[in-house]
Amino acid sequence: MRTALPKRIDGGNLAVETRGLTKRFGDQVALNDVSLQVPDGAVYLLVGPNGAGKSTTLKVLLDLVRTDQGTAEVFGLNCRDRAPEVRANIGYVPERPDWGYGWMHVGRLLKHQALYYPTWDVDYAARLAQKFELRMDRKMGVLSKGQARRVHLTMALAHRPSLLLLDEPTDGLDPLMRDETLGVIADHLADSPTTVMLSTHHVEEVERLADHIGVLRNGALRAQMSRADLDAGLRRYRVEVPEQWPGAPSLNGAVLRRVTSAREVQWTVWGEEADVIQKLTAAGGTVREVVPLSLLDATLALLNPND
Amino acid sequence: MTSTQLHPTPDTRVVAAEQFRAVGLAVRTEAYFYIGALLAIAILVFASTIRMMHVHPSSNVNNGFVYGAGGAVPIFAMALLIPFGVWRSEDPSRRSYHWTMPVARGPHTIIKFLCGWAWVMIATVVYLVFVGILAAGLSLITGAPDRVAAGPGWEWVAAFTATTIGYLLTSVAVIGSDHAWRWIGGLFIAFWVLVGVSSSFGLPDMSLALQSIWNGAYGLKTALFGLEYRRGWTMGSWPVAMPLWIIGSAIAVAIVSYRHRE
Repeated sequence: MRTALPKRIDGGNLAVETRGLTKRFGDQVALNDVSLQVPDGAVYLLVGPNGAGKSTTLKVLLDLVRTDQGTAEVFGLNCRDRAPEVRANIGYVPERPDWGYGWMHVGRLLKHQALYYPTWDVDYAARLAQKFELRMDRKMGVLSKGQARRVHLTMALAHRPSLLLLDEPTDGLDPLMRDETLGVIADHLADSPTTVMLSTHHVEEVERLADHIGVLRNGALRAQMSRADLDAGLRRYRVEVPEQWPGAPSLNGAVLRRVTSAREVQWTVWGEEADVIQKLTAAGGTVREVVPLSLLDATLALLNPND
Repeated sequence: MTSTQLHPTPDTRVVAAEQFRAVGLAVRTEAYFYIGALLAIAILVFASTIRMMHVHPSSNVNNGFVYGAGGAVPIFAMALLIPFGVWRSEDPSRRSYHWTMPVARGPHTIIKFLCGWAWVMIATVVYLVFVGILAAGLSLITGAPDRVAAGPGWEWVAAFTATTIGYLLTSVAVIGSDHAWRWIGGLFIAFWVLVGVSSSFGLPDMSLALQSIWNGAYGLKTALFGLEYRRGWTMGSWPVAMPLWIIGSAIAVAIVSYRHRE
């Protein structure tokens, strides 16, 4: 039976590949031997608590942060040695809202951005600006977090990059604009062949977009897999158990989350469903229900420290 | 590997032209202040000259002034401030936008630095033209001969080299540090404290060595304006000191520009 969480995605062309990324900021380990594989065309959701290393990973791809060990490649290009070419293919929405020139008007900043990206699509930029209700005559420095985020999204999407790095793209947006923004990203993906690496705390919002997931905790990669593998391998089992039930030792290592109430337990277990049911039954339990998890619940289970 | 078609990087000339325009926009505030100050000076000089001519019609109000190297002090002071405009709201900890552009980081920083320098040179030309117009205007009003260009040519060149040195020195701090003012102020204070302490504690050699950084044969003051004497300026070792300071500070700018900040 499979008990170890998968940490490698095999097969197909890779848009992003990192090998053993390790980065320390003083005593703090930001990344610890992180090896990611992001398939070409995937929407890869990078999840983890604050300080898990999500933003640092994205910054390594842009050569904003240089690792102590390990290498990163985007479309086969080394992110450090061929950084300008890598960045020419990336649309980036950073976490911080003060990105860009605070003293510049929105319209002028978009023009500035356009000159740096030969593939800038003027009509598309205009459509995005209209959709996001951007006010071209306002200075970047006076925009709210949500308004700045919409400008950043326009800057990231309008040159139709091959790779989108979105670091909390809906942070600061009101619910309506969040929905609108995710719709724009979905339309963009339908329209342009793009690989997306997405970091967000609002996992439930991107459930319909993400087809791969990578889980970081304390700078280390805990798991990465496709959504299909996640959906097939992670289930919640509601089990009726006898009093003084000793548990199911044969499932040690596969149980990610345990909730116990009286004579019933709910275990979130990684493994093939038939195997898990057989082991639970052999241990004296009666499986009453097997429930597939939402992306948010799966994420919470994968982040659970009870491993 | 991937089958994705890769996008091209921008043409360096396009980047340079855009940076020139963007830096021009960034230093607009300084430019307005500078033009306003020049106009105020012109109005003050003309008004006081006209008034003096009315109050003392028989006096020799103005025999026409000769431009000297020290005349570059105002534009030099301006050049010291320009890097703060060029890198407005872009100290290293907030420079990630500049660094995420599809251009190599070191050369990109140098391009922006050079665009700022080009604007400093334009401002210097404007300043010297202003000095020429001021002299011509005074000559017209007073009837005295226009002698502004009577001095040696190197003193006009010194306006460009002094502003270049000033721009370079401040750029080192602004490009390299989040706390440029602290570095500039700290170094200035530390320098003069050391000079004072070495004099007070009977260390004349150390005091002289320190002071020579400012006003020695190859000191900063000499590199900027030549040697000062009682009635004006003389070239002294300016032809050597000036390139030495330019090369030294240019190397420092290159080092901070190519350093990888995170």
